[in-house]
Amino acid sequence: MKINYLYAPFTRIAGLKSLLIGLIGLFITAYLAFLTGTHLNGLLNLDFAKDADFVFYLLENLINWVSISVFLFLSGLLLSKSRIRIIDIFGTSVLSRLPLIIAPLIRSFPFLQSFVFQSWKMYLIIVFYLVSVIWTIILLFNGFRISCNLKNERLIISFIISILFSEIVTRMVIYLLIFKT
Amino acid sequence: MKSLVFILGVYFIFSLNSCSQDFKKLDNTELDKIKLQIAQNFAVNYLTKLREGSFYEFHDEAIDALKSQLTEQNQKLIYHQLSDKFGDFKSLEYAETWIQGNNNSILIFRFKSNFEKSKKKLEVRVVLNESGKIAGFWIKPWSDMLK
Repeated sequence: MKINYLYAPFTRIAGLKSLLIGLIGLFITAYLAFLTGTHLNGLLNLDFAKDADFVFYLLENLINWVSISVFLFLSGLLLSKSRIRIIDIFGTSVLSRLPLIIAPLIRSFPFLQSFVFQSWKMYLIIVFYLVSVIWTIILLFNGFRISCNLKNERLIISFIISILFSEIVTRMVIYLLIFKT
Repeated sequence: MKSLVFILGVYFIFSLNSCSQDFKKLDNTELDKIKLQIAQNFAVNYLTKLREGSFYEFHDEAIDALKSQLTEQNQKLIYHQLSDKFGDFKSLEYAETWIQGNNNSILIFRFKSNFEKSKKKLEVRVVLNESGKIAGFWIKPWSDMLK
């Protein structure tokens, strides 16, 4: 039962509660990311650079969360016959990001602060990051399934498309953010 | 079977490590402050001259190959491309030093620099060879990984 809680907690935590817990987690993740220089700019992209202010790391996390949530919400609106609560989508999405704290947490070890490209240190961080991303995607998927009451092909295809679109939007917005207007 | 997987795993990790063992990051206590000053002065002077519309005139502080590449025309062209994207150079600060080579003869100085239009810092990298001459100079997005 406990292991189930790790990848499908949304039968017990949903709505405002998951939103609040998730937001606290997102802020802590962003702060650790800032301290360690770990850019979580999209689910499928990880950069190592202490090169910006805290706000930038926070925005990276917020932008990715909002864009995933918006696309999942739109998919739910289009494909589900059930009534969808926006707070459920945003709440489960932000709670699903909790495993992403792993990469910045691992990088807080001093020997992983700076390293050579293609060194074992780089691969070690990437392995931990991949675990956290897979875990996050499983959580997102389960949250989306429960919040929108979708099944089978509709569920899988709309989920994949939403993630891909949110990645593109996240990258575009972050790119625009880098350069001051 | 398990021991074979273990041996292959250990070999894989050692192979990865061997790719990077030519480089070592220096502590501040091991740092040659004079060489750091040479690298920092060069980087600041170079970028300041170009920001002011002039160019950096090399003397005997750099190797010939670098001097022949960074002609007045090339310097201005590269800076123009850089400032178009990131804005004008503002400042730079020392970040870290790495050594490369079997006898630790090559010094890689890494600086974080601010440009007007960019919210992210860029890396200014100056490489000194065994005789203390500037042998490499790069400006690129900062990464905590040495590439």
